[in-house]
Amino acid sequence: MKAAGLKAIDTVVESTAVLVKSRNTKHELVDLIASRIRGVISMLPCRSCI
Amino acid sequence: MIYTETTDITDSPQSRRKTPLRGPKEQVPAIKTPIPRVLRRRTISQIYLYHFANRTWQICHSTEGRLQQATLDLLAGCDIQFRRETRLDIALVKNLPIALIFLPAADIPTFVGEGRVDLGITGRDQVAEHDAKLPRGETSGVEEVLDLGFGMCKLQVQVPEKGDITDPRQLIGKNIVTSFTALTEAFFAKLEGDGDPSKRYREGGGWDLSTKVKYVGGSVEAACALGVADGIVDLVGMCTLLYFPSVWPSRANHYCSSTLQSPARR
Repeated sequence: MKAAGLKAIDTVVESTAVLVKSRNTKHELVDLIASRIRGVISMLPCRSCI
Repeated sequence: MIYTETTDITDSPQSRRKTPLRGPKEQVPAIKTPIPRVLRRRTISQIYLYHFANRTWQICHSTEGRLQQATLDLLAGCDIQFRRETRLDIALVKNLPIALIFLPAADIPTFVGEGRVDLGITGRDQVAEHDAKLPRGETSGVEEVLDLGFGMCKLQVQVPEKGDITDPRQLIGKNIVTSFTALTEAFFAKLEGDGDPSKRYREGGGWDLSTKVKYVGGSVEAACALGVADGIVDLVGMCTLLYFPSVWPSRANHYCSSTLQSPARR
């Protein structure tokens, strides 16, 4: 942004990576994978401490 | 005697000192789907296809740079074991009946919302763009499960530094270039309608805008300098990567092996 000589004047959307699921899925492994990912994310060290 | 992670009960002190901190590399046995007798003499590729057809559950994730490495680390941390062949967009998971599909981040909400893909990892901006493109009143097929906390970025309105524009309202009626046309149009509809975008509804979907929003796939930041746009709407990364300590997979492996071995040796 700086290299192209631009400045930000407003924010449209703030974003992070998210895990999404299909609204009409009924597969039993969806909950298993989601809980595993939740466990890994909560186990990671605090990002502000690095 | 206190058993630590690295202590092996039967080892002598000398050999114990030499015991490496890293655990033995043990292969976790993959769950093997039995191949039916009809298929046993077929070629490998046919068996591969058969296995793929049997997978019922799929996950897809971003192939774009910013999210990719963190996503691969995350899947490794979840003990989802797979090997991705070069130039293949599908990988089968060894220890679960699922398949991984690697897609561009912008396509993932479409595949998850309307296709037979059950889970996906992508940016919230891409999900918002997909939802903004839906016809009015239609509920999105994509549901957010979890905020993963990495790949943080902002979709920002940017103007030339030396210009006189300081407020997004000054861009009304001018040219905007972006990759996120639906979100940008919704943003300017809100600006033009003084906070009420419904004033700018067009019959049959879309917006009635005086601002011209154009689509560009990449290098959006060059559009102002090249005279295409008066302002752009583009992503600005915040450099928040997922911090994965490189040692913990082997530690975890070692921990499992030592706790499983000790009771048997007693």
